[in-house]
Amino acid sequence: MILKIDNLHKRFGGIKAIDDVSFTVNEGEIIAVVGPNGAGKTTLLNLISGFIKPDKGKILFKGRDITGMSPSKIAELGIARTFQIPRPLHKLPTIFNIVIPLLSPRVKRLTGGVGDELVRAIDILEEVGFERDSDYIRKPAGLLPHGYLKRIELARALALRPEILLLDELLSGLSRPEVTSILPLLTRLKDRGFTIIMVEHRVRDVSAIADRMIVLNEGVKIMEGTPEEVMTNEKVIEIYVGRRGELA
Amino acid sequence: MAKGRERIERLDRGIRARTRDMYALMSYAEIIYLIGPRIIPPILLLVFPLIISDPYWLLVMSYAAFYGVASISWDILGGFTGLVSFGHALFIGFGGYSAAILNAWYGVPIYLSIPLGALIGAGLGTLVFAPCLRTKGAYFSLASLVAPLVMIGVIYASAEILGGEEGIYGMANPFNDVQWYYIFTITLLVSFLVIRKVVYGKFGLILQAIRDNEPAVKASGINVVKYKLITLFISGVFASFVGALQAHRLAFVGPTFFNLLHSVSIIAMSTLGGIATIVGPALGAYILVILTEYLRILQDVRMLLYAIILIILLIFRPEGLFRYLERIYNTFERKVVEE
Repeated sequence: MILKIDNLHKRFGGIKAIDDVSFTVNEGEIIAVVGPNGAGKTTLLNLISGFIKPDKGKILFKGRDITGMSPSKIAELGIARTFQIPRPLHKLPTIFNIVIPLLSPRVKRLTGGVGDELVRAIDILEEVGFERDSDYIRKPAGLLPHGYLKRIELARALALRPEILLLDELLSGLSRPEVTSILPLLTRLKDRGFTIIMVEHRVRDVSAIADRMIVLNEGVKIMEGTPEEVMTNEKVIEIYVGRRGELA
Repeated sequence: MAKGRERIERLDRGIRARTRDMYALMSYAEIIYLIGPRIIPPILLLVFPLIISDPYWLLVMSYAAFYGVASISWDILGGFTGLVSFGHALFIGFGGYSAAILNAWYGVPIYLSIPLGALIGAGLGTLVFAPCLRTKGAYFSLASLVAPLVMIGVIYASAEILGGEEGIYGMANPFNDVQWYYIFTITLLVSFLVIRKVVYGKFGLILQAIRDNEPAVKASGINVVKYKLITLFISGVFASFVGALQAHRLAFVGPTFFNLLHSVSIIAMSTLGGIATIVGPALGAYILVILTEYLRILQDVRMLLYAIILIILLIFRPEGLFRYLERIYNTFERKVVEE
């Protein structure tokens, strides 16, 4: 068990965004958190990555209590995240977007501060699907199309050499070919030992690669199980699409 | 070889095309083109007292260098990190008071009171600004605006401890006008080189990343608050240093050191010269200080004139004078013979 979420609560005013959610994540797993809009998926990721603090409950990473730590500290410990709406360093060239995490204390500690950040940044960009000598690498990141911004998000998280990757709707807004090119990449990452927690709207796409799925609705965990169990569960289907038949 | 067609080419393009990142120069014209703008202004500044020995103009140019240092140190915060401080006078004041107290009350010699004053001033300023870091954007600007004004109130209220309205007198001032001119000017040149080194390295890259998108930098495992504090301190050292110099030069330090006018002038100079260019704010400082002297007859109306100049500039040349001049300079052409 690498991550344990224990009775997590978060309210925004009168709305219970996360209401008593608990689950555990094992090392090397792909966990998909799914649910309709407003289910609290992104809030859950923000809580784990420290961008917002829970009202109640605990988050344990490798047995260590990380509840309420700052985002940079949590990233430093080895939990990297992407953002649903890409947050590139829009004025800096794409490659510098990846150099920044390479300059973080965590990466310096893991690599011994070798200093060839530009070379390593290009390698990482290539891994997530940039062409090695494409113009996009030198262009200011703000000028890139949406699909590439999503890849920058993933590359930034990967650059941190994290143990857990938190992916916030990585697939949203991507075209079908883009999705089919990213899914095998995620499986490859899993094979390399990354633990992945992905928040997704596209249930069918993630069910193909997830080991387990967690279903949220209005901040409450409805069920947890293998993709087959979740996809065939009456309650889930009802919540998710309102009537039977659209998931299949 | 047959003589080919003649073609006009931009000087910088030719140099860049032949050399990627390395300069392989082919003519004196190119050498002058490249090093001229880097060498001539410092030389002019250094020989200025040999040409014009009028103490009045030495004073004016020392003031310009004083504001130049303050403005380029502001540029690290406002231009590169996105912390647009409206209260940079806080550092000038803290630097001045620290040096004054060390020298006038504790007898610390001038060559120690100035650097120590700079460090203490920067430390105090960073402490005061630290809580403001919780706010962002315009809110940070407003919070920082208030800080030096509060200090003026504190000084008025504590006449016995900090000299109150009267200020502190009697600091050592062993230098004449020419010497002070060189002290301020060399401080500016050294500050420029040091700050340029800081902001164009890896540290500066992280600062620009913070300016661009703070959450992304946090998610990259970098402690943004730590970087902001270090930046405040670095920026503060330079501003406090000239504050300390000024305190010794005038042999006086008073609440005016924290004056809002300093803070506002620094921003005006940086905007005029070009934010996030380092050299621009210094350029802006020289232009505005010299302009102020010529417009002295207008008295307070000149503030209005400043405002008008700035507004016109922000509309037509929002990138600042330096970027504009740079662009014009880069259009120098030469004739090339095609083979």
